[in-house]
Amino acid sequence: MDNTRKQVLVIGGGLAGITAALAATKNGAQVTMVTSGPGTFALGGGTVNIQGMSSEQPYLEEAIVFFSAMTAAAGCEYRGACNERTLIPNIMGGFQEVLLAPSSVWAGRPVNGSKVIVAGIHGLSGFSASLTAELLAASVKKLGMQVKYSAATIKIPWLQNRSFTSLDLANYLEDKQNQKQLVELVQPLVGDNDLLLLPAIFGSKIKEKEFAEFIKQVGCSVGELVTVPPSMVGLRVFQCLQRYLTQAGVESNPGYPVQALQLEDGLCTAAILDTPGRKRVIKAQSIIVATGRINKNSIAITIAGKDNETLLPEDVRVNEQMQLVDKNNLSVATNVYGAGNIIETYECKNGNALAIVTGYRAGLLAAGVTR
Amino acid sequence: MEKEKLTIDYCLKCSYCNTVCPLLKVCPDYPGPKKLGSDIERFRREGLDCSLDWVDYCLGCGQCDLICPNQVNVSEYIAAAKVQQKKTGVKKIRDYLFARPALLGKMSTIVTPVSNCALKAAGPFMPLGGITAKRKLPAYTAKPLIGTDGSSRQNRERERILLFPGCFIKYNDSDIGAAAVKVLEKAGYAVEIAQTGCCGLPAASDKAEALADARNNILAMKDAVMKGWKIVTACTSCGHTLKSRYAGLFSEDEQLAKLAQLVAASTYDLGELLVALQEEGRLEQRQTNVFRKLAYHAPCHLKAQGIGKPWVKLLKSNPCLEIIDMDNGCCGMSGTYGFKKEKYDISMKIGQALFDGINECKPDMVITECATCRLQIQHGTKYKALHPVEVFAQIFCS
Repeated sequence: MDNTRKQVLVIGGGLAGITAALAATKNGAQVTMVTSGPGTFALGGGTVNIQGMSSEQPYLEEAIVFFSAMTAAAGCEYRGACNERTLIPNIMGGFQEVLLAPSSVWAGRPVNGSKVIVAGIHGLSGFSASLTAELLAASVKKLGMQVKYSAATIKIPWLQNRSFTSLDLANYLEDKQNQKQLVELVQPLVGDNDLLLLPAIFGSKIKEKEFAEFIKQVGCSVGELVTVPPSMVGLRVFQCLQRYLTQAGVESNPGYPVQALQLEDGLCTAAILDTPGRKRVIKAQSIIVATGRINKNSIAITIAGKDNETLLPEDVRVNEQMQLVDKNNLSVATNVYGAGNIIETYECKNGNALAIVTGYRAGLLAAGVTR
Repeated sequence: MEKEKLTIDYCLKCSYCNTVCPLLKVCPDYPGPKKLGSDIERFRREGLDCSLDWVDYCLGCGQCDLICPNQVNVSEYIAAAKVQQKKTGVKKIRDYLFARPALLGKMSTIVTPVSNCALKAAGPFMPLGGITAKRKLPAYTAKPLIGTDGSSRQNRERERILLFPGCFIKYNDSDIGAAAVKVLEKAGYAVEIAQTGCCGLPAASDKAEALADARNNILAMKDAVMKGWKIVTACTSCGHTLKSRYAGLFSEDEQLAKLAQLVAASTYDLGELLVALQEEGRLEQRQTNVFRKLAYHAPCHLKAQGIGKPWVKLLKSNPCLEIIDMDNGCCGMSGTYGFKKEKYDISMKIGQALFDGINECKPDMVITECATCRLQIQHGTKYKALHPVEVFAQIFCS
């Protein structure tokens, strides 16, 4: 074991956890992750919102720049910047204000004076191209923009006469021949349109280069619409970042959540995992709790020499140094940090920009970066 | 409320399980783990007949359980439904035998050369028994697995390990077991070979047989675990079964349930134990002058143990080895699944991503802990597949 590097344990594999792990590992720490599922980030299509949150938030710009650089290096490029808000269309025919979005989603934003065709796929459940186009036309009017939306539905011969999900379609499209076939089917729809909007149907294995090739062959811009979960764009970004984390030397442990944190002399020394047969003990010098809110399991805190254990509450507070604190603002342990959705000030309307900011800061502090 | 009932309500319908199912990826008509597992389970619990032939096609890889945000045991629900499935004709006989690898192994290793000739001769007739003719059944070994010679005083004083061989190492490839014994001895242990049978995983759909396997094994290991010995296995499927299945089987027999828990708590995967030794500084690897590029495939039942990828950690720390973690998901073999005539094509389709990955990587050889993963890799690629301990023993014990 490399003793010169700081051992950081990140609990949680959502946006906050991933950002924290990346920030810590890029700042020299040896990072281990414990996850149970990909969190809500992958469910939501991978867009980053900032509603209700102040742009004056310290570290916001630094964290967003870091996140953008990391995603670009991982092969899932994001578009957008800290001081911009962009509207992107969704399958419900509305527009959503985002700070950042995966570039394929970003490509779907409305441009004044443009013509857009929304393409549906016969049999794809939960998506109607004509309904989406009609509602987008109405929404764009309200925004005072001139964009013409029309709709068409294609039939993929292999997929006829049955109902399928975007995941089925994504699996089907992993075959290069099938990608080619899709190009042939959508090409005739392009005509004089500037943009083709497709529901997100490309799987997690499609690379940026292949998507660029697809756009080139189609003959106009192509934007992806985020669908109902599981959203393929979110999954793609998630899996891309997972691979990137592994490459960066982060050890990932999926499936068995942390059951307890062990405290000794005011420091957390280890996390206990509920693995089959025997509980696994992971020792670390810094611990980042980024467990989010969709998981039902809670983390116990045990103190050496004491019998009683307390449960980490669903809402937690952090201090200026991102350390988890109790009701009296006393830190749980000076080396336990909090990030993401579990922080009580994190309201839904804040979107996930705060997950990036808190994850980034916790990652830096856990790695021992001081300023 | 019982824990079981609680967990099914924890299903969020997020569909993450469907995104990792290797079968759904190649077989879009398959209902997927969410529907077949936690969705339909509600009706099964109401006593409604929900028998679907599809449950028989689940590979039991357990990846759905691992990605679930709330640890819903999706694959367990499907496995339980499998038990209820009624089988007839040839499939019934075939699956009866496939559930009993130890019975076949015992009979076949009485006079091994004869059995291997018979195996070869039987090849063309396999389809009559519902077994694909496209694969060769693995040959049996004539070499019995031998533990540490306990006669010397020095060996008697060493810490003991009970090696759970599992059917493949016991009856088909005892060289892997011998390599494991050699490595463990070099690490300072005295190794005894457990007098156990099949772990019971192949009999998961045959409840009485699985229970008998578990009971016999627990009793065979009772003395050792009571003395505090560690049980070590080089097979990830055996290890997964010992750790996670035994403890839940004997809710009516308190004493046996306690023993089962002790067995589970005493069981170590070979790589898991060695990595722990290395981290404690008790395992010194040597550098060889031969550089080797090894493609590593992580078996599904290793992932299910929640111990990370110990062999990758162990071998990566040796500068003479380049370890490439394929990370291409399930190989598609799933024990005897890939041998079954009606499942052969699906099995190969699932394995294709891994085969492509290995071919692209061009390694010197492939390493993976699971015996049937190795059979699948050798069948689907031209590469030789070894257990990592075979490579490690060469470096560590030379």
